[in-house]
Amino acid sequence: MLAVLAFVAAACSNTESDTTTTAAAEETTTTAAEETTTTAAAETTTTAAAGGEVAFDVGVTAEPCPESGNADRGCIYLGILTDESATFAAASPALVAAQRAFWAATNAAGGIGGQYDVALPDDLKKDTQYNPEVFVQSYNDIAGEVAAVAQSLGTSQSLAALPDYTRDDTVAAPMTWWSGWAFDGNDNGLVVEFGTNYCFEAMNAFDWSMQAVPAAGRPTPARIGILAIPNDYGMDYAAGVKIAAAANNVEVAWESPVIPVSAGGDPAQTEAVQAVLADPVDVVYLVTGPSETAAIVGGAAAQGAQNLFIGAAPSWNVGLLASAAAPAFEAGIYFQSSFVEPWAADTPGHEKMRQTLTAAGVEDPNDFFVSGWVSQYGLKAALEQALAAGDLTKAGIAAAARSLQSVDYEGMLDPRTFGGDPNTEFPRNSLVGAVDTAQPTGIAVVQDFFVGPTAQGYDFSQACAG
Amino acid sequence: MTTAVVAPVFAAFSIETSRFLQAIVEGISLAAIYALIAMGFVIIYKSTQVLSFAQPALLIVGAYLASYLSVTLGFGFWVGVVLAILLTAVLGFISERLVLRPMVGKPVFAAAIVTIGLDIAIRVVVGDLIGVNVRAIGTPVAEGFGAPSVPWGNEPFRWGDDAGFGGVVIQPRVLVIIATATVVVIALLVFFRRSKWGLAMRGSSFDQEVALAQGVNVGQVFSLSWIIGGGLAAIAGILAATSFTGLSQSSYLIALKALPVVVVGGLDSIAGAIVGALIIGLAESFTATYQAQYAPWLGDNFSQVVPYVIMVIVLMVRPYGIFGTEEVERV
Repeated sequence: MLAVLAFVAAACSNTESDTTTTAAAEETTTTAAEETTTTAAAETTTTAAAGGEVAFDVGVTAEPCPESGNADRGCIYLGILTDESATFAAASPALVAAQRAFWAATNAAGGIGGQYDVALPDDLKKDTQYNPEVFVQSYNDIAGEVAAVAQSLGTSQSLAALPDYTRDDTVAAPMTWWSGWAFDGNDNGLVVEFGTNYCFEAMNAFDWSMQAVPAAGRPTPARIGILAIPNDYGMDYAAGVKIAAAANNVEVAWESPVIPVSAGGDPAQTEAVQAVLADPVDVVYLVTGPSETAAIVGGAAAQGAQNLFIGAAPSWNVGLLASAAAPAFEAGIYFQSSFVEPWAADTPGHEKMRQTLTAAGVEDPNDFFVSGWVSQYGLKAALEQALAAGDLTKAGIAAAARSLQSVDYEGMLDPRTFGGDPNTEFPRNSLVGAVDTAQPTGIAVVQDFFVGPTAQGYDFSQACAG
Repeated sequence: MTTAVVAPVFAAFSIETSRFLQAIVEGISLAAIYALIAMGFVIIYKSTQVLSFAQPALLIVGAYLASYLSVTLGFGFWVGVVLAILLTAVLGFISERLVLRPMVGKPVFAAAIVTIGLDIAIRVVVGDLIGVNVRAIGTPVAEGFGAPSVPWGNEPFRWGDDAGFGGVVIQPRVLVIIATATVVVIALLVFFRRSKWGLAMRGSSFDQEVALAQGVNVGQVFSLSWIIGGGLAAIAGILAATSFTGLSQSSYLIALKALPVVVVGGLDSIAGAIVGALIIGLAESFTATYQAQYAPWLGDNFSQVVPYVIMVIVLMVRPYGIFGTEEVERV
């Protein structure tokens, strides 16, 4: 009984009520008096606009957004499917805040084509509990009210909702870097990914280590270990490490799963620490979360481990520099791969992000804000392209997303094109950082964007894992 | 020849010995934190007959307040920690008066469920306050005591090296955890045996009506039990947050381990809470150290399951726990 109650307590940590807001497509069709005519049996509405007629249906209204000061603009509603109570609960507030800030900045700069503002209201934000079943239910709760999904967090979760995304022509900005999103056969072209994937990020980090480690006076890595969370994130990154290891004739001495602390894993990660100590290797790759990174790096270093650690982007948090593991991190044994430069980077996009979020009251920056912000450029481009075509219907937005050309990330990422052959179009570049206590997020770039030889020569014809 | 044979054997023996000792150190460190949390459960249960599921929330409140006061507001470690413990104790008092007192006379099961609601409500608020970044608790040295600046976990010393036992690492934080828990346990035992209020609490835990007839203010005993429970949870949270993982939204999870502890030790026994904590802490530590090597078929992360396996076994064999009273009513 006690155990049951304990688990009830743990399971009930949902931070948002399960409000059901299902609305059929035809119920959301809204007409603005005098300048709006319904053209398709209460489903599609056409609005006269400065640039010509614009058709729209679900999640788009001719009325301004709630609390918008722009009475002359319509409103595009985006949904948020995030995790507020499970593995990524800690990251969710930063991701959501950055996405809302992105659209606030976009609205302030004229919105979408000067005709529409974009809103991400609370009632269209759902806690999916990082659970595929809840995710699908949550999506269907908001499906009748959103033009697109601004955050689709989790690979297996997003994959579970794909049949429904496809049914509704719903375009989604993922908060997952699974290599499979590059292929229309997996996502029907509806998932507008950004940056390279875990797999290429891992290959590049590996290739970098083969040059940088001996350059720093250590032996060239000959044996490595992998500690990864056993999910899409861990498996995709680990696959990239193993591909690069094979290409470089480096032995993968061991690979061990890591259960996240937030999922009931050991806070001290003793098993992982034992794995590091029991069979010493040159480099250990960490595909974990910040808590696990701290426990493993801190615990292993304290017990005499001599290897280097390279972590995937989500493995780090600046707060680790204030933890008991700080001495280990400051000793220069930890490096960090990433698909995007950290918070303090000098690009127009980073600058705009910092200004907007600082004005919104963000005092403790971290790189989840960067991920949230940069995730929205593709969606913005799709909405602009759909509007330019006079078709803001779900089908119109989906068609635009499948054919985006040279999406501009304001310098945060290289421009990229969607819809072509992933083997030639998909971005393969990533960067590597090292711990730097002077940086706001604790990481300074030591290797700018590059494509290593393994990633360069890799035949990207299918997902690396999953 | 002899040296060539003996040296590797001795080296292997030395490594295994240090592993074994390291597991003991880690286990006792865990047990110390579990014991503090479990004693809060037991004290509240003995006084009110209600099992408080709000202890995880009180734990994370204490740790957050310590971090906020000592680091964010810059009050310094000692001021921050003391204030955090006091404020969490006050929160325990308020919780009892506002939420639990109206439940007096209602089924204890209903009161236990109310504590679950209280736990969730508090944790949601504190989780938002903690935010996405891992938070630090501050450092106790070099703040007026003239001690060298040694952050938590920095410069661990190896007491096994000189003694020839291999490299067993005992970080300063481990010593502080064990010492703090020991002092708190002794203080509580003295309090219950020697002080007027401690005797009143013991009396009302035996029979509330008789205690009332003897002039004990049972309502105040209820409040005092929640004050002590809140303070113990805060101390446990602060100690837990000195770990490598620091303070995060997930830090409350450690309090769930106190459930197997109190079931194993006995719901109404402080001694049981201590013994139960040692059993669970050591079992968890030894499983984490050796299971992957000797019983990999049990799967990954089995050390996190072991406390609950032990709990189930004890419930089957001795439902009232090792030191518990047989007629204890369960919720």
